[in-house]
Amino acid sequence: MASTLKKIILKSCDGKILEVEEAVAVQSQMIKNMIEDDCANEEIPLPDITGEILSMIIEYCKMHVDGENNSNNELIARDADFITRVDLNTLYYLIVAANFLNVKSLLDLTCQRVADIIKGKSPEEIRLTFNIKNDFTPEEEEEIRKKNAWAFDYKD
Amino acid sequence: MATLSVPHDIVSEILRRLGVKDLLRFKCISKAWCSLIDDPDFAKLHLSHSLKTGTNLSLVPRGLDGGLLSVELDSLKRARRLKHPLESYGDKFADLLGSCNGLLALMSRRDEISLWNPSTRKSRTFPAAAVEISRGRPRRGFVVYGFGYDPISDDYKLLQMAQYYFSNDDSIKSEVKVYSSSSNCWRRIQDFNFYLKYKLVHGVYANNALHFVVSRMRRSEPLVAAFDLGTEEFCLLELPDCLGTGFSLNVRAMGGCISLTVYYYLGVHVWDVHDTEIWVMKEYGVRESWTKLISVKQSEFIWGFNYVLPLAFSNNADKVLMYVDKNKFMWSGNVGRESRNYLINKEAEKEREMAWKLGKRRC
Repeated sequence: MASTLKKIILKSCDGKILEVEEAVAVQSQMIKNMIEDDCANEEIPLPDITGEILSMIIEYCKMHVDGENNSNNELIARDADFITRVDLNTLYYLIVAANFLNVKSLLDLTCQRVADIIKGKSPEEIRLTFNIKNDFTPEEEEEIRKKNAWAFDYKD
Repeated sequence: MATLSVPHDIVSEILRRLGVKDLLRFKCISKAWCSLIDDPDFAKLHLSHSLKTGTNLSLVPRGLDGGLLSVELDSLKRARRLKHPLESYGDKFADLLGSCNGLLALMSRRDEISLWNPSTRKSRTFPAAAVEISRGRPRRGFVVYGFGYDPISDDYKLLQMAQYYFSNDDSIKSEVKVYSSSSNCWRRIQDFNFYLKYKLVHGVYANNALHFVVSRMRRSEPLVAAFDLGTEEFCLLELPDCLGTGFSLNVRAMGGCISLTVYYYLGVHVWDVHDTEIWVMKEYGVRESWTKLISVKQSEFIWGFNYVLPLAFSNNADKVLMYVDKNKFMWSGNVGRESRNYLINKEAEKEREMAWKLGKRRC
């Protein structure tokens, strides 16, 4: 009985303390490993994750624990609802945090969301969206474009 | 995301979820993106993600002019013409020898073979192997192929099986050659001692093996032979133990599993209408794992049909796409449920709705 009510204490980089039920916290493979190694008895500091992002991740994990008995379609609908509320900037921090905490389903969901956003876009739009510097010379870029000219036909 | 750089492995996680066309376009974004997309390890991750999630799946039917079309499996709404590497002088014909991991093996009327990736539009063309036994004045004979991937040697292989009749009796000679894409050459392997049942049907790839419908004697009951692409040996696959009598077989790959279509003769002739059962071997090589997916009973159909062949599962595997009477594509719903029927007519975007029912028969 005691173990089911056990709380894990997480501390974000901006000093926010969050108490999480163990069943929710173990959605993170990293925390699960820490619990198994008996390293989760004190608060766990998460140096790169803000309180805001941490709360969102806990909300997501809680949704999945509570929804364990729901149908697959219901979970997919909830995931979609969760992820479409997130702007691109937040999405970035969510991906980094999901990767660090090793929450596999959230990493899938967030990466798929970014893939859906950039699908069908032009290289210029991608550079702008992600602030990527074009380090090709104009000749080099032209060469690559020429080789794959058909991929720039946006009709299909 | 403005001021932060995205870690390399996360970019890789995101990009493996895109289609090949997007990736080719994104190569000119930066040197880092270009080298990631060109990395053979990334190509493997991209392939395994597509296989795992069932994305980027297309059907490749033949158009009326003999050329190839491509239809997205999910929507089945639009047929796109594929310009393949063996097209020449207005001759668009290509025989589809097999497909595996998004690669197609094609053959022209001039006996040229091409291994082609329609997503990247890259290909390699080489001649078919000479059939040595055909020099001994055979009465008749034929050649079939099979194409697949051997993960152990990380090699794509093409199998060429020639079978020739030399005298009036039923004795045959066979000749088997294997093309390896890593060595880019053909070599002859051990002969094949079964009769191939179909001279126009190429081998079916599933579970690292190529499958053919065969028999021990020319007119004896149909069996399934498997060619292991790793060991390069043939063996027989055990069939479900509750098949009736008087049937012919087709072998297909469905969702990565080997599948049987069993046609029971209802009349005296082979060409009489059939009742049809579709089976899947859920665990390869385990006889008990044969599972009957559906049976299509002639009498319960709204109108008759001659011929059904399963093509693929839908993305969430609750429906089977079937090829009916050599001109229609239909989705079968779950057993007994009404479902929609799609028609792909030439390149037209035609969709016709009909309700039809699938009968259920006990094993």
